[in-house]
Amino acid sequence: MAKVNTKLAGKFSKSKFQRKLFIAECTVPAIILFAVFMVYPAINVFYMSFFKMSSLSLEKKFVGLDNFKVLISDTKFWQVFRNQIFFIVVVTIITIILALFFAALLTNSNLKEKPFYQTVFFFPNVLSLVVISTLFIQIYDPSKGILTATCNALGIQVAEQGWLGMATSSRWCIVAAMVWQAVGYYMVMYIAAMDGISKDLYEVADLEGMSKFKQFFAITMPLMWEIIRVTIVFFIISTINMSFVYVKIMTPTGGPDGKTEVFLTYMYKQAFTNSNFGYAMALGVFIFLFSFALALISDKLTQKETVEY
Amino acid sequence: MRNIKKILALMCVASLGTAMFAGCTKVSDVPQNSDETQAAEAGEETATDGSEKVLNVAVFQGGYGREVWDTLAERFEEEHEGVTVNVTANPKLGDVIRPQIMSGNPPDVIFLSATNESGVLQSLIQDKALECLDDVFDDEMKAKFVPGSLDAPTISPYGDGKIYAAPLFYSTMGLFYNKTLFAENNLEVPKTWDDFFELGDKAKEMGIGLFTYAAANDPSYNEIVFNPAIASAGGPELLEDCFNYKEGAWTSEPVKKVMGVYQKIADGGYLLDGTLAMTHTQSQEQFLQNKSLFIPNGNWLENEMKDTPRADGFAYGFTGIPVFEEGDTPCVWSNIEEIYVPSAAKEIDLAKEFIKFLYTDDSIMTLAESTGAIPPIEGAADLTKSVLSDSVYETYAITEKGYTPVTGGFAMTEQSEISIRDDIYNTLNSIMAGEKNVDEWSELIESDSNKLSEIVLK
Repeated sequence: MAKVNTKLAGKFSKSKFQRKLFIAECTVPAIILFAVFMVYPAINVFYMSFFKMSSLSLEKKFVGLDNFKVLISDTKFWQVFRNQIFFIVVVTIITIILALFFAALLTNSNLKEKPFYQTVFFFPNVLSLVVISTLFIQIYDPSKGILTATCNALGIQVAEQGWLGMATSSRWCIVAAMVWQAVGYYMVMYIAAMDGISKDLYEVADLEGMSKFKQFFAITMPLMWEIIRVTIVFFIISTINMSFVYVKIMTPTGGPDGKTEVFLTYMYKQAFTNSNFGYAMALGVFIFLFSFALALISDKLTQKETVEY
Repeated sequence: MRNIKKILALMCVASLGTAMFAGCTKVSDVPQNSDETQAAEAGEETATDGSEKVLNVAVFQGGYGREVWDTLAERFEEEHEGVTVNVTANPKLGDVIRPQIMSGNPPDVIFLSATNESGVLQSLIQDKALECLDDVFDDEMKAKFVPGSLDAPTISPYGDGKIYAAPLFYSTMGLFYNKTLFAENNLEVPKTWDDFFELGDKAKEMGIGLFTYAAANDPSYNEIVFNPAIASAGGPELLEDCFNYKEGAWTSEPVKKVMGVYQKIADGGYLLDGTLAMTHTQSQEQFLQNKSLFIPNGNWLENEMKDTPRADGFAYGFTGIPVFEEGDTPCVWSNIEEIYVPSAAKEIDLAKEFIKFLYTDDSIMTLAESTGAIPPIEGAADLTKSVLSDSVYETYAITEKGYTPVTGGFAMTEQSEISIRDDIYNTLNSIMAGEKNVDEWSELIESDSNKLSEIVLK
């Protein structure tokens, strides 16, 4: 009996070992890649932020926290900071509202063309951001753009210096492009979440005479709250990342009076055009910590008791 | 089932692995031209026995194209037995060569001017990684150059008179206008700023703008107007002081007067509508359509816009910058494009030989013929007159009309978060947008200038 036991145990542990080996085989390459291409560069950013050096980094000079001191007193950076917050807040709010609205509309209605609308809304996500930016530049074009032409045809005299050229409108122009691109993506996510909610709940609500509008806030929202929370973190990260492309293409100089300059365009300018790599790395560290903190804060603020059925 | 998982996992690993190595191909390894690559390979193979040498030349592929460099490379190869010239041309040259420079394997010759947004030349100067070119520029050679062209801060950056970058091209830039439009409407080319704004009022009557520029992507085109106007209003010494961050230079009366010109363009509604949202191409298109009387630009304009539709009978006219008072010295901006050798290059002697070769009469002709640009050598414009287009020749001949060419650039500094050029020209946009005024503008630049004056490279 004992013999059999050890034999069994041996077999068991052997297969367990093999299993572990297999898992290791599969994960080690990914871990190596992750370490080499993500962890190492990230640590390097922290390390390089303590140096004064050009983008060629042929000559380095250790300056301690000087780059961070400069960052705190750099008024232009704080303007950039305000711009970035503006983009994060405005794009997130508008996109969430629109995406939820369209998602609710498509889930609750019995439209035959539902898949068609889903595709149409999702379509901008298939396009490259560069294409979208160029497209919107054409729309905003001061001489032949469709927006200007429409306003002129309606007899409204606005934006004589071009939509992207005025301090008041340039940010909103970029917000519009970003929202247009993002709505479809989040809409699909919300539709998936809404489809997961049992139809029974709505039936009961209908029987109780609850309006569709009320149903949305009483049933749909609480049950998909977790998904919305996750997407808020997505919004923060993707707005910081993607605003770079939009701004770089639509307002290459950072917009009128620096109104559209964002974190990454400013970092890029400092690193390459201005040849101040150390400072750019300090900016990188700040952006990293900032987005991390913002994600954590938003997570804490939106924490509610999870409702499930 | 387990097998399928295994296979899937293996496939994932394999694809990740290949993706990893796919990233390792150097951009320079990608063949630009198959003949050349073969030649380069052949050169590398035989290079070991000492008789064959490979010269790597990296050139910015902008308005000038690539062909001219291939022609020159071929001719250089003919003249120098056993030498293979390998040309890399790219519109994003800075991104291509930056990793090569960082890994200690830079091209032997680089043609990428300081005004390029990659900032490679600035970085090389700051890192003291340029080869001194005094061997090329001996006294005999120096005497041939237009006075002042070898003193620019990017050419001789450390203030010791030693030359570290060669001025390959030089061009004069100013205001372009349409000769036909001016003749049809009896307009006269302005001599003073008062004339200029009178034209502006006439332009308003005609329903067009007086002035337009590349506000959306490169407002620094305005240095074509701004710098010579300062030199003319306050003398070349003042412009020099501005470039060297001398205290009070940027808040001085003449500088504010020049800034005031822009304020007047903005306040008087002389700017072409929509300019602030236009890139350089868009503003140039509008100019060709007679939507604006003037545009600040350089001699590449005609070539750059050769395929763009334009108003009937359009004829390029070119003039320098107006003056404030009659009797002031009228000035025109001139610009230099640099070519240089990194000190880590493998074939330094050959690289210097190549730069010398570019200044021979034959090469000057070849370059002028296909690029319309000439080096700042006395008599080069006349030498190449036969191959230059009229509008281009006119930009060089402007000096004969009494306009003094001025040039220069900000003294090089250590790394700083301040980009004074950006601050000047982005604020110019803000002036046009009505967001800032002249006092704020000059104070901002003065405070930048004071900060930068403490970290000038020596």
